[in-house]
Amino acid sequence: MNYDERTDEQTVRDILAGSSEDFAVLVSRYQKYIFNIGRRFYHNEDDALDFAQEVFTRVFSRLSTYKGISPFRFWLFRIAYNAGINGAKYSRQDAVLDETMPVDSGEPDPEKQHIQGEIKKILMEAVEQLPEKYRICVDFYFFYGLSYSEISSITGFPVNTIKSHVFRAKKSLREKLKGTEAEDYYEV
Amino acid sequence: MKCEHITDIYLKAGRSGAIPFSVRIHMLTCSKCRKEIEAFQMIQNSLMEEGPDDIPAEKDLCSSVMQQISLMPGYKEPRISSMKWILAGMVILTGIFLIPFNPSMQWIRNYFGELFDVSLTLVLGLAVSLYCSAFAATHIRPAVLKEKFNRLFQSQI
Repeated sequence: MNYDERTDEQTVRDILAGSSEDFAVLVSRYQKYIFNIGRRFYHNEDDALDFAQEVFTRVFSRLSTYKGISPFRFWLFRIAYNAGINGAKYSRQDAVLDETMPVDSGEPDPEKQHIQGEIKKILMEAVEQLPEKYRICVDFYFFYGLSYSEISSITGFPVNTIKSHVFRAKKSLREKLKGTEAEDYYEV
Repeated sequence: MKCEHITDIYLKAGRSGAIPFSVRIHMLTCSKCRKEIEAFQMIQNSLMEEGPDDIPAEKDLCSSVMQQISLMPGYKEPRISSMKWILAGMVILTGIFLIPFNPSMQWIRNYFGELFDVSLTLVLGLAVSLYCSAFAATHIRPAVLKEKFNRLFQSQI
Protein backbone atom coordinates (compact mmCIF):
# COMPACT_ATOMS: atom_id res chain seq x y z
CA MET A 1 0.00 0.00 0.00
CA ASN A 2 1.35 3.37 -0.95
CA TYR A 3 0.37 6.47 1.01
CA ASP A 4 2.45 9.03 -0.85
CA GLU A 5 0.04 11.66 -2.15
CA ARG A 6 2.33 13.26 -4.70
CA THR A 7 1.40 12.78 -8.33
CA ASP A 8 3.71 10.70 -10.49
CA GLU A 9 4.91 13.81 -12.27
CA GLN A 10 5.75 15.60 -9.01
CA THR A 11 7.61 12.53 -7.82
CA VAL A 12 9.62 12.43 -11.06
CA ARG A 13 10.53 16.11 -10.61
CA ASP A 14 11.72 15.40 -7.06
CA ILE A 15 13.80 12.46 -8.24
CA LEU A 16 15.41 14.53 -10.96
CA ALA A 17 16.08 17.29 -8.42
CA GLY A 18 18.24 14.87 -6.44
CA SER A 19 15.86 12.83 -4.32
CA SER A 20 16.68 9.49 -5.97
CA GLU A 21 15.24 7.45 -3.12
CA ASP A 22 11.76 8.70 -4.12
CA PHE A 23 11.96 6.31 -7.05
CA ALA A 24 10.76 3.68 -4.57
CA VAL A 25 7.37 5.46 -4.58
CA LEU A 26 7.00 4.85 -8.31
CA VAL A 27 8.18 1.26 -8.02
CA SER A 28 5.70 0.58 -5.27
CA ARG A 29 2.90 2.25 -7.24
CA TYR A 30 3.49 0.49 -10.56
CA GLN A 31 5.23 -2.79 -9.83
CA LYS A 32 2.09 -4.87 -10.22
CA TYR A 33 1.31 -3.25 -13.58
CA ILE A 34 4.77 -3.84 -14.99
CA PHE A 35 4.89 -7.33 -13.52
CA ASN A 36 1.63 -8.18 -15.30
CA ILE A 37 2.92 -6.83 -18.60
CA GLY A 38 5.86 -9.16 -18.04
CA ARG A 39 3.53 -12.07 -17.46
CA ARG A 40 1.89 -11.44 -20.81
CA PHE A 41 5.24 -11.78 -22.53
CA TYR A 42 7.02 -14.42 -20.49
CA HIS A 43 4.19 -16.52 -19.09
CA ASN A 44 5.93 -17.27 -15.80
CA GLU A 45 6.30 -15.45 -12.54
CA ASP A 46 10.09 -15.47 -12.18
CA ASP A 47 10.76 -14.13 -15.65
CA ALA A 48 8.03 -11.53 -15.16
CA LEU A 49 9.71 -10.36 -11.94
CA ASP A 50 13.10 -10.13 -13.68
CA PHE A 51 11.41 -8.25 -16.50
CA ALA A 52 9.79 -5.77 -14.08
CA GLN A 53 13.11 -5.16 -12.34
CA GLU A 54 14.82 -4.60 -15.67
CA VAL A 55 12.10 -2.17 -16.78
CA PHE A 56 12.38 -0.10 -13.60
CA THR A 57 16.14 0.09 -13.93
CA ARG A 58 15.75 1.23 -17.52
CA VAL A 59 13.12 3.78 -16.52
CA PHE A 60 15.41 5.22 -13.85
CA SER A 61 18.29 5.60 -16.28
CA ARG A 62 16.00 7.31 -18.81
CA LEU A 63 14.05 9.43 -16.37
CA SER A 64 15.76 12.63 -17.46
CA THR A 65 14.31 12.12 -20.98
CA TYR A 66 10.74 12.20 -19.64
CA LYS A 67 9.38 15.53 -20.83
CA GLY A 68 6.13 15.51 -18.87
CA ILE A 69 3.98 15.94 -22.00
CA SER A 70 2.08 12.69 -21.52
CA PRO A 71 1.22 11.22 -18.11
CA PHE A 72 4.11 9.37 -16.49
CA ARG A 73 2.18 6.09 -16.30
CA PHE A 74 1.61 6.16 -20.05
CA TRP A 75 5.34 6.75 -20.66
CA LEU A 76 6.18 3.92 -18.26
CA PHE A 77 3.77 1.46 -19.87
CA ARG A 78 5.21 2.28 -23.29
CA ILE A 79 8.75 1.54 -22.10
CA ALA A 80 7.55 -1.70 -20.52
CA TYR A 81 5.66 -2.77 -23.63
CA ASN A 82 8.65 -2.05 -25.88
CA ALA A 83 10.92 -3.92 -23.48
CA GLY A 84 8.53 -6.87 -23.61
CA ILE A 85 8.36 -6.82 -27.41
CA ASN A 86 12.12 -6.54 -27.76
CA GLY A 87 12.91 -8.97 -24.96
CA ALA A 88 15.24 -11.74 -25.99
CA LYS A 89 13.28 -14.28 -24.03
CA TYR A 90 9.97 -13.43 -25.66
CA SER A 91 8.14 -16.70 -25.96
CA ARG A 92 5.50 -17.30 -28.61
CA GLN A 93 3.94 -20.28 -26.91
CA ASP A 94 0.34 -19.94 -25.88
CA ALA A 95 -0.13 -18.00 -22.70
CA VAL A 96 -1.09 -20.08 -19.72
CA LEU A 97 -2.78 -18.17 -16.95
CA ASP A 98 -0.80 -18.62 -13.77
CA GLU A 99 -3.46 -19.89 -11.39
CA THR A 100 -1.16 -19.62 -8.41
CA MET A 101 -1.23 -15.84 -8.51
CA PRO A 102 -3.06 -14.40 -5.54
CA VAL A 103 -5.69 -11.71 -5.92
CA ASP A 104 -5.04 -8.39 -4.18
CA SER A 105 -5.26 -9.00 -0.45
CA GLY A 106 -5.49 -5.33 0.51
CA GLU A 107 -9.27 -5.32 -0.02
CA PRO A 108 -11.11 -5.62 3.29
CA ASP A 109 -14.39 -6.98 1.88
CA PRO A 110 -14.08 -10.77 1.36
CA GLU A 111 -17.28 -11.01 -0.68
CA LYS A 112 -16.08 -8.32 -3.06
CA GLN A 113 -12.71 -10.06 -3.21
CA HIS A 114 -14.39 -13.29 -4.24
CA ILE A 115 -16.57 -11.58 -6.85
CA GLN A 116 -13.59 -9.66 -8.28
CA GLY A 117 -11.68 -12.91 -8.52
CA GLU A 118 -14.57 -14.50 -10.42
CA ILE A 119 -14.84 -11.56 -12.83
CA LYS A 120 -11.10 -11.60 -13.45
CA LYS A 121 -11.20 -15.31 -14.13
CA ILE A 122 -14.04 -14.92 -16.61
CA LEU A 123 -12.29 -12.01 -18.31
CA MET A 124 -9.06 -13.96 -18.52
CA GLU A 125 -10.91 -16.85 -20.14
CA ALA A 126 -12.33 -14.41 -22.66
CA VAL A 127 -8.87 -12.98 -23.26
CA GLU A 128 -7.43 -16.43 -23.89
CA GLN A 129 -9.68 -16.71 -26.94
CA LEU A 130 -7.97 -13.72 -28.57
CA PRO A 131 -4.81 -13.90 -30.68
CA GLU A 132 -1.85 -13.73 -28.30
CA LYS A 133 -0.44 -10.42 -29.43
CA TYR A 134 -3.75 -8.64 -28.80
CA ARG A 135 -4.34 -9.99 -25.32
CA ILE A 136 -2.30 -7.22 -23.77
CA CYS A 137 -4.64 -4.65 -25.35
CA VAL A 138 -7.49 -6.04 -23.27
CA ASP A 139 -5.34 -5.86 -20.15
CA PHE A 140 -4.50 -2.26 -20.97
CA TYR A 141 -8.16 -1.43 -21.44
CA PHE A 142 -9.67 -3.16 -18.42
CA PHE A 143 -6.92 -3.07 -15.79
CA TYR A 144 -4.71 -0.13 -16.77
CA GLY A 145 -7.54 2.27 -17.60
CA LEU A 146 -6.12 3.25 -20.98
CA SER A 147 -8.24 4.50 -23.87
CA TYR A 148 -8.23 2.94 -27.35
CA SER A 149 -6.00 5.68 -28.74
CA GLU A 150 -3.54 5.37 -25.84
CA ILE A 151 -3.34 1.61 -26.36
CA SER A 152 -2.80 2.19 -30.05
CA SER A 153 -0.03 4.66 -29.32
CA ILE A 154 1.72 2.18 -27.02
CA THR A 155 1.34 -0.96 -29.11
CA GLY A 156 1.24 0.47 -32.62
CA PHE A 157 -1.91 -1.53 -33.48
CA PRO A 158 -4.68 0.34 -35.35
CA VAL A 159 -7.42 1.75 -33.10
CA ASN A 160 -10.11 -0.23 -34.96
CA THR A 161 -8.28 -3.51 -34.41
CA ILE A 162 -7.98 -2.78 -30.69
CA LYS A 163 -11.64 -1.76 -30.55
CA SER A 164 -12.73 -4.98 -32.18
CA HIS A 165 -10.68 -7.17 -29.81
CA VAL A 166 -11.80 -5.28 -26.72
CA PHE A 167 -15.37 -5.53 -27.99
CA ARG A 168 -15.01 -9.31 -28.33
CA ALA A 169 -13.64 -9.53 -24.81
CA LYS A 170 -16.42 -7.33 -23.43
CA LYS A 171 -19.09 -9.30 -25.21
CA SER A 172 -17.69 -12.58 -23.99
CA LEU A 173 -17.43 -11.17 -20.46
CA ARG A 174 -21.02 -10.00 -20.59
CA GLU A 175 -22.29 -13.37 -21.81
CA LYS A 176 -20.38 -15.33 -19.21
CA LEU A 177 -21.36 -13.01 -16.37
CA LYS A 178 -25.06 -13.62 -16.96
CA GLY A 179 -26.60 -15.39 -14.01
CA THR A 180 -23.37 -15.41 -11.99
CA GLU A 181 -22.84 -14.08 -8.47
CA ALA A 182 -20.88 -11.21 -9.96
CA GLU A 183 -23.88 -9.97 -11.93
CA ASP A 184 -26.10 -10.19 -8.87
CA TYR A 185 -23.52 -8.38 -6.78
CA TYR A 186 -23.29 -5.41 -9.09
CA GLU A 187 -26.96 -5.32 -10.03
CA VAL A 188 -28.42 -1.99 -9.00
CA MET B 1 -33.17 -7.65 -31.21
CA LYS B 2 -33.16 -3.96 -30.44
CA CYS B 3 -31.83 -4.56 -26.94
CA GLU B 4 -28.98 -6.64 -28.38
CA HIS B 5 -28.12 -3.92 -30.90
CA ILE B 6 -28.15 -1.24 -28.20
CA THR B 7 -25.94 -3.32 -25.93
CA ASP B 8 -23.48 -3.77 -28.78
CA ILE B 9 -23.35 0.01 -29.28
CA TYR B 10 -22.63 0.38 -25.57
CA LEU B 11 -19.93 -2.28 -25.59
CA LYS B 12 -18.23 -0.71 -28.62
CA ALA B 13 -17.97 2.67 -26.90
CA GLY B 14 -14.59 3.54 -25.43
CA ARG B 15 -13.54 4.48 -21.95
CA SER B 16 -13.12 8.19 -22.53
CA GLY B 17 -16.64 9.12 -23.58
CA ALA B 18 -19.93 8.91 -21.75
CA ILE B 19 -22.57 6.30 -22.59
CA PRO B 20 -23.72 6.96 -26.20
CA PHE B 21 -26.89 9.03 -26.54
CA SER B 22 -28.92 6.32 -28.30
CA VAL B 23 -28.04 3.90 -25.50
CA ARG B 24 -29.10 6.39 -22.84
CA ILE B 25 -32.44 6.95 -24.56
CA HIS B 26 -33.01 3.20 -24.69
CA MET B 27 -32.05 2.86 -21.04
CA LEU B 28 -34.86 5.26 -20.11
CA THR B 29 -37.45 2.89 -21.48
CA CYS B 30 -35.88 -0.54 -20.95
CA SER B 31 -35.20 -1.41 -17.34
CA LYS B 32 -33.55 -4.74 -18.23
CA CYS B 33 -30.89 -3.05 -20.38
CA ARG B 34 -30.50 -0.23 -17.87
CA LYS B 35 -29.73 -2.70 -15.08
CA GLU B 36 -27.42 -4.71 -17.27
CA ILE B 37 -25.48 -1.70 -18.57
CA GLU B 38 -25.19 -0.12 -15.14
CA ALA B 39 -23.93 -3.39 -13.68
CA PHE B 40 -21.44 -3.80 -16.51
CA GLN B 41 -20.25 -0.23 -16.05
CA MET B 42 -19.64 -0.92 -12.35
CA ILE B 43 -17.79 -4.10 -13.17
CA GLN B 44 -15.53 -2.24 -15.61
CA ASN B 45 -14.85 0.47 -13.04
CA SER B 46 -14.09 -2.06 -10.34
CA LEU B 47 -11.63 -3.88 -12.60
CA MET B 48 -9.84 -0.64 -13.36
CA GLU B 49 -9.78 0.44 -9.72
CA GLU B 50 -8.33 -2.83 -8.60
CA GLY B 51 -5.87 -3.11 -11.47
CA PRO B 52 -4.11 -6.33 -12.38
CA ASP B 53 -3.07 -9.01 -9.89
CA ASP B 54 -0.66 -7.94 -7.17
CA ILE B 55 2.89 -9.13 -6.92
CA PRO B 56 3.21 -11.71 -4.12
CA ALA B 57 4.14 -9.77 -0.97
CA GLU B 58 7.35 -11.73 -0.43
CA LYS B 59 8.54 -10.77 -3.91
CA ASP B 60 8.08 -7.03 -3.54
CA LEU B 61 10.41 -5.33 -6.00
CA CYS B 62 11.08 -2.07 -4.11
CA SER B 63 14.19 -3.10 -2.24
CA SER B 64 15.79 -5.04 -5.09
CA VAL B 65 15.18 -2.24 -7.61
CA MET B 66 16.45 0.43 -5.22
CA GLN B 67 19.54 -1.64 -4.49
CA GLN B 68 20.21 -2.01 -8.19
CA ILE B 69 19.70 1.66 -9.06
CA SER B 70 21.79 2.80 -6.09
CA LEU B 71 24.79 1.48 -8.04
CA MET B 72 23.90 3.45 -11.16
CA PRO B 73 25.71 6.68 -12.05
CA GLY B 74 22.62 8.92 -11.87
CA TYR B 75 21.72 7.88 -8.32
CA LYS B 76 22.02 10.59 -5.70
CA GLU B 77 22.32 9.72 -2.02
CA PRO B 78 19.41 10.76 0.19
CA ARG B 79 19.82 14.36 1.36
CA ILE B 80 18.21 16.38 4.12
CA SER B 81 16.62 19.48 2.61
CA SER B 82 18.47 22.80 2.99
CA MET B 83 15.53 24.27 4.88
CA LYS B 84 15.77 21.59 7.58
CA TRP B 85 19.52 22.15 7.86
CA ILE B 86 19.08 25.91 8.23
CA LEU B 87 16.28 25.54 10.79
CA ALA B 88 18.34 23.10 12.85
CA GLY B 89 21.35 25.44 12.61
CA MET B 90 19.26 28.38 13.82
CA VAL B 91 17.98 26.35 16.77
CA ILE B 92 21.56 25.43 17.71
CA LEU B 93 22.79 29.04 17.43
CA THR B 94 19.84 30.35 19.46
CA GLY B 95 20.65 27.77 22.13
CA ILE B 96 24.26 28.91 22.23
CA PHE B 97 23.30 32.60 22.55
CA LEU B 98 20.87 31.81 25.36
CA ILE B 99 23.43 29.88 27.41
CA PRO B 100 24.70 32.95 29.38
CA PHE B 101 21.14 33.79 30.47
CA ASN B 102 20.57 30.39 32.01
CA PRO B 103 20.71 30.56 35.88
CA SER B 104 22.36 27.13 36.05
CA MET B 105 25.09 28.45 33.79
CA GLN B 106 25.83 31.27 36.25
CA TRP B 107 26.17 28.74 39.03
CA ILE B 108 28.52 26.50 36.97
CA ARG B 109 30.64 29.52 36.01
CA ASN B 110 30.94 30.60 39.63
CA TYR B 111 31.87 27.09 40.64
CA PHE B 112 34.47 26.33 37.92
CA GLY B 113 35.73 29.86 37.28
CA GLU B 114 36.91 31.57 34.07
CA LEU B 115 38.44 28.40 32.59
CA PHE B 116 35.03 26.90 32.08
CA ASP B 117 34.14 29.72 29.61
CA VAL B 118 37.22 28.91 27.54
CA SER B 119 36.55 25.17 27.37
CA LEU B 120 32.84 25.71 26.67
CA THR B 121 33.64 28.14 23.86
CA LEU B 122 36.07 25.64 22.34
CA VAL B 123 33.54 22.79 22.49
CA LEU B 124 30.74 24.90 21.01
CA GLY B 125 33.08 26.26 18.32
CA LEU B 126 34.03 22.70 17.37
CA ALA B 127 30.36 21.64 17.27
CA VAL B 128 29.41 24.57 15.01
CA SER B 129 32.39 23.89 12.71
CA LEU B 130 31.42 20.22 12.40
CA TYR B 131 27.83 21.18 11.63
CA CYS B 132 28.93 23.64 8.92
CA SER B 133 31.34 21.08 7.43
CA ALA B 134 28.61 18.43 7.28
CA PHE B 135 26.29 20.93 5.60
CA ALA B 136 28.92 21.89 3.04
CA ALA B 137 29.81 18.27 2.34
CA THR B 138 26.22 17.25 1.67
CA HIS B 139 25.07 20.35 -0.21
CA ILE B 140 27.93 21.77 -2.19
CA ARG B 141 28.72 19.84 -5.34
CA PRO B 142 32.22 20.34 -6.77
CA ALA B 143 30.89 20.64 -10.32
CA VAL B 144 28.47 23.42 -9.35
CA LEU B 145 31.15 25.19 -7.33
CA LYS B 146 33.57 25.00 -10.25
CA GLU B 147 30.91 26.38 -12.60
CA LYS B 148 30.21 29.31 -10.23
CA PHE B 149 33.89 29.98 -9.79
CA ASN B 150 34.44 30.01 -13.57
CA ARG B 151 31.52 32.38 -14.07
CA LEU B 152 32.83 34.73 -11.37
CA PHE B 153 36.32 34.57 -12.82
CA GLN B 154 35.09 35.30 -16.36
CA SER B 155 32.93 38.26 -15.24
CA GLN B 156 35.95 39.84 -13.55
CA ILE B 157 37.99 39.56 -16.73
